[in-house]
Amino acid sequence: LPVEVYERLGYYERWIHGSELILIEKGLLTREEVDRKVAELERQWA
Amino acid sequence: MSGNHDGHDHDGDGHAPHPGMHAGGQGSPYALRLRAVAALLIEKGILTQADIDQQLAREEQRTPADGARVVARAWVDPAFKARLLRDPKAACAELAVDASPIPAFVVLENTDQVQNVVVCTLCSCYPRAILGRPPDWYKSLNYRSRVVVEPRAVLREFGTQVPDDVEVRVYDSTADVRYLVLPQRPAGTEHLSEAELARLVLRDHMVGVSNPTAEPALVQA
Repeated sequence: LPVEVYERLGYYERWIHGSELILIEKGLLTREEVDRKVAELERQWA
Repeated sequence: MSGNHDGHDHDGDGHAPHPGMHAGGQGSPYALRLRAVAALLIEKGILTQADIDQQLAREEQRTPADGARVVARAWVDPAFKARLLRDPKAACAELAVDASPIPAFVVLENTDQVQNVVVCTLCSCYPRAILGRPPDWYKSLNYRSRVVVEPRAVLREFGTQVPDDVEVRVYDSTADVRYLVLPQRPAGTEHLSEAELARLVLRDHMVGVSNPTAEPALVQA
């Protein structure tokens, strides 16, 4: 994680952000997929 | 993937059928991203909900009581102690304590000359398989940065006075190596049973920031 992101995030936020980045780097997920799913969940739970 | 805890903690309901996937986690947008990532991994068949539930249950089951049993056995059985120092994973397995998730596991013996202390300066590496989840202070920048520079001062803040003639050794955990401190058996405990001894051993003693005493331990924060 870049320093400015690391400094800004809480402990578990770093884990979540870092895990997402790794999954994207490994080609298991794409950023777009995650963004779409976030929007979908937001609509479901609104 | 310890980040998975986050979703669970919000719910505060251990009986929920899908603790990782509950709605209603307001707050950090990262909580939502975590749920989105988990949902995608399940959709793609990379993970199942059962995998997530199982891992959460495993993490919740582990408590410092497992480590305390190992320490108490080492106090009463010198042959076990020798095996524990030589091959910690195999010795733990004898007591049905599963240390196999730890890549390399080292037990550090406190002596009259040496007080061992464990830290993870980089993040929060900790022998979770033996002690459960680390306390908040273990993950704090304050502890992580100071204990390597002024260990005696930090230990004093835990109420531990290390005599000048006792060497303090600080071990920095990594992704590959986890440490457990084997504290010294307190004087005045000769009459206690192994189970009674185990009750004297607390999490902090096995991290090395304090030491057991002959008095039964109070509940630990």
